[in-house]
Amino acid sequence: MNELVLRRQELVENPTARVPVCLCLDTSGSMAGPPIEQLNRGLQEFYAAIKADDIARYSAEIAIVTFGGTASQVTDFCSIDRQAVHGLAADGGTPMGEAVDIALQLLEQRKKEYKDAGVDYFQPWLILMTDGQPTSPWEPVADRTAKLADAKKLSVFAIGVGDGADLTVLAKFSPRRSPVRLDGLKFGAFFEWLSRSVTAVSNSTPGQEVPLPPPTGWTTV
Amino acid sequence: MPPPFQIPFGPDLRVFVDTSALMEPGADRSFETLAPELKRHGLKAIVPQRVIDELKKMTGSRGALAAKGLRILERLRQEGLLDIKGETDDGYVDNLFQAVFVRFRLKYSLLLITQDGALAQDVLSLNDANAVQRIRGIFAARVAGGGLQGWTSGEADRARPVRAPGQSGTAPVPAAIPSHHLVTQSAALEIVKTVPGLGDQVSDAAGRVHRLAKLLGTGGEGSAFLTDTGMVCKIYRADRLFRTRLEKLELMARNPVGHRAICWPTSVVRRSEGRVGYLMSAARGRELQKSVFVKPLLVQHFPSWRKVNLVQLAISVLEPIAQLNSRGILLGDINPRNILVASDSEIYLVDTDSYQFMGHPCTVGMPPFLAPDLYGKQLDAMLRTPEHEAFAVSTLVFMLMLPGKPPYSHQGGEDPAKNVKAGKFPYAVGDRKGKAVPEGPWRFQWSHLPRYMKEELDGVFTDGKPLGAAAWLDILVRYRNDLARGNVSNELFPTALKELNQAQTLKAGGRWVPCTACGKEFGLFEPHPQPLCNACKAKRVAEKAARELAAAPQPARARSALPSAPTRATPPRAAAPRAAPQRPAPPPPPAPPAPVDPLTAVIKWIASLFG
Repeated sequence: MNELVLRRQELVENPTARVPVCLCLDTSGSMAGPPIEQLNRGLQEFYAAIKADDIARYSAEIAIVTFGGTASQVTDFCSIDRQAVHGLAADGGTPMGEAVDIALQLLEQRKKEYKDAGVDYFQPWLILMTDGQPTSPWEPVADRTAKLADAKKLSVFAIGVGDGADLTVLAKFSPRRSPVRLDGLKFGAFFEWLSRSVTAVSNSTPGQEVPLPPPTGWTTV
Repeated sequence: MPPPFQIPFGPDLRVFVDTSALMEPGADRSFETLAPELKRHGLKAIVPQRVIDELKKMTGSRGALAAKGLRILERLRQEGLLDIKGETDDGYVDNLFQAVFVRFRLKYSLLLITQDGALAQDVLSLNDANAVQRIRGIFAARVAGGGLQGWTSGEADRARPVRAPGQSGTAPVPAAIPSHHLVTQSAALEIVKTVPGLGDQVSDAAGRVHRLAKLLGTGGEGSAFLTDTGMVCKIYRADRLFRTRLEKLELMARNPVGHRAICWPTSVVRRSEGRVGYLMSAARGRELQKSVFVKPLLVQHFPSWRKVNLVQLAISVLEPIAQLNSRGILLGDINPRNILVASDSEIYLVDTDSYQFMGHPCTVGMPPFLAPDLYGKQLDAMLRTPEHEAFAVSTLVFMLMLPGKPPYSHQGGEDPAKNVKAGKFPYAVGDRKGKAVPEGPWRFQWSHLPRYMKEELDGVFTDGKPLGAAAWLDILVRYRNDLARGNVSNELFPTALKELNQAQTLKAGGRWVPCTACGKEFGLFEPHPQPLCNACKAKRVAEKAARELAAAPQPARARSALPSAPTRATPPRAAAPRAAPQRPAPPPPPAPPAPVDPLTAVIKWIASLFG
C-alpha cells in the first residue's frame, strides 16, 4: 500500500496515547571509530527493546536527526514496527543548532498530526547527544528549546559523550534537567534506560513526578 | 427448633436454588412441598446451568445424591416450575450467586435456598451493605424436615463450614466496610537493611516460610515473585516501604474478600528485622492494555473474538468491582495495566495494595480514568468518592466497547489529562451530530452500539453522570442478551456506519429516499436538496480528504529553517557497506513513479472505511 496511506492508517487506528521521541545525535568526525560503532549498536538495541515491549511498541514513536557535517533527518515518525534502523556514519563538523531546529519542527509537525486526527499524545521528548561543541550558531535554537522545556511542552534529555562534550552548552538546551555525561561509551545502557522510561510516562499519576527508572549504569557520577 | 421459614411471596420475588440444597437428603420432599406454592404465585425455581453441570459431574456416594438432585429438577421442569439461567462457562462458580444478588437486589426480592451457611451469610450480608439505594430484601433458607428453614445472619455465620473445592457458593466475605475517616499517610519507612530478592526467604503472619522462587516483574515500587508455595509475593523497594501502607495491607489481610478474581493481600511478609511486602494468590492472563486495547494484539491473542466477547469481558471485569464497591471498597486506580485477562470470563484484578480501604486512601491514578475534579489534587490526602469510582468504571466500559479508545479523545485534543478536563465527548447520539470525532474506525464502532448503550455513555461523558459498576452490569447483560438473540451487530471491527432498514427508518421518523448519486434507497433524517447515501457521502468526503492530503506538505521533508543550514545533497552515509541498501531515500525525493497513484490509494482506503 502507498506509504502515505499506511502512515495515516496506523496513526488513526492505534488508540494508544503516543510519546513522540526525537533523537538528535552527533555524528561529527570526532565520533568516528568506537563511539559511532557503540552508538549504532545502542540504537539497534533500543529499537529491539521497544519492539519487545507491548506498551512501548504502541506508544513510543521515534524520529532521528543527525548532525555530522550537515544536519539531516534520518527517519520520520511512524509505527516502530515498520522502522528500519540505519547504520550512522561519523563525518564533518557539529551543526547542533540546525539539527535541533529540524527536531523541533518534526515534533511540532507530529503533534499537529495527532491533534488533527484526534489521537491522544504526551508531551514530546528530545534526546540530544553530542561529544563536542557546536560549530555553527546554536543560541537562538537553544533559547526556543529551553522555553518549551520550561513550559513543560518538551522533555529534554541532554547527554555529553566523552570528555570533549561541553555540558555548559547542553545546559542551555535543558534548563529543567541537568545534562549528564555518558559513562564511557555505554550507549546500550542509556538506550535501555530510555526504552523503560518511555513506558513509565503513560503509566504515571498526573501532578506527580514521572517515576523514571534511576539512570544507573550509564551516567558518570 | 426455630419456626418454619415463611417464604416472602410476591410478584417481585425470585427464588434461586444452590447445588447443596438439591443434594441434601430429604430435599425431594421439601421441593414437593414447595412446588405447589411456587405454582400458586406464578414463580419458578431459578437454577444456574452450572449447578446442573456440577450435579452431573459428581461421582461415588455424592453421585447418588446428585442424581437425586437432578430428578428433583426434572420434576420441577415437567411442571413448568424450572428456569435454567446462564451458560456452562459464565463467570466464576465461586461467586455466581453473590454476583447475581448484587446485580438484582434493587429490582427484586431474592431468596436463595442453600445448605451452605457461608454462602447464606454472604448473600444476607448484601442486605446491609451500605448501599445508596433501597434493597428489596434478600433471604436465605435451607432444606430441612420436608420444608424450608430460614438462615439468619448470625446463625449463618456460626455455621460457616469449610466448603469442598469446586462446589458453588462463595468464600467468606465480610459485611460492608463502614465508612472511615482519612488515615493520614506518613512518609515513615519500615527500616530494613536490605530487601529480599530472588532465592531469599520471607515469613508470613502465621510464621510460614516462603522462598522467592521466580521473578515475575519489576515496577516502580518493587518486584513481584512467585514463591515456592505457589503464591505471588510483592517486595517493595526500600524507599517505598511506607509504614502506613504496610498497616493498610495488614488490615486488608485480616478482612478477606474471598473472590477468586481479586488478588487480595493474604498476609504481610517480613524478614527478621521488618515488614517487606505482602502475599497474594497467583493470577494468570495478560494485561488488558497488552491484550485487548490495541487491535493487532487483540487479533493476535483472541483471534476468534466477536463483539459479544468484549461485552462478556466487561461483565467479568465489572462483577468483582461491583462486589468490592458494594462493601465500600474503592479500587481508585482502575486502569488497563492492573486487570489481567485470561479469557472473556476469567480475569484478575491485581495491584490491590493501592485500593482505598478503611480510611487508607488510594494515592495513585492515571488519565483517562482519573475523574476531572481529581487533577491537581493531593491524592494521598483525600478519600475518593463512589462518583470518582463510577467515572473510572464508565471510562473502562467505553474503552472496552471501542477497544482502547479513551472517551474524551477528539480532534483538536491533546494529552489524556487535558482531554478529560476539557470534557468534550465527540460522538453522535440520537439527533445530536458527532463533533470532532477522532479519525479512523471509532465512529463506526460507536454507531454499532445499541441506542441504550450510547445514551448511557453520553449521560456519563456529556452530562457528567457517571454510572457505577452494578448499574453497568444491568446494561451490559441486556447488551449481551441482545447480541445472543441477534438483535444487534456482533461485528468486532465494523468498517461502516450502521445502516437502518426501511422500517427502522420510518419508525425513527426518517424518510426512505433514493440516493441522488447511485439510486440506492436509504434513510434520510434531515431534509437535503441532493440526498446522498452513506457510501456516496463517504466517497465525497474521501475525495476531499485525499485532495487535502495530497496538497499538504510532505511530513518526511522537514528541513531546518535556519538560513545557515547547509543542505545535504546526498543521503547520510552508512557506517558499514552492508547497511547501505537500507538507507533512506534522500529528502526531498525526485518523486520516482509510484506503483499506485497516491490519490487513488487514499480515496480507496478512506472509502473502505465507510463501506
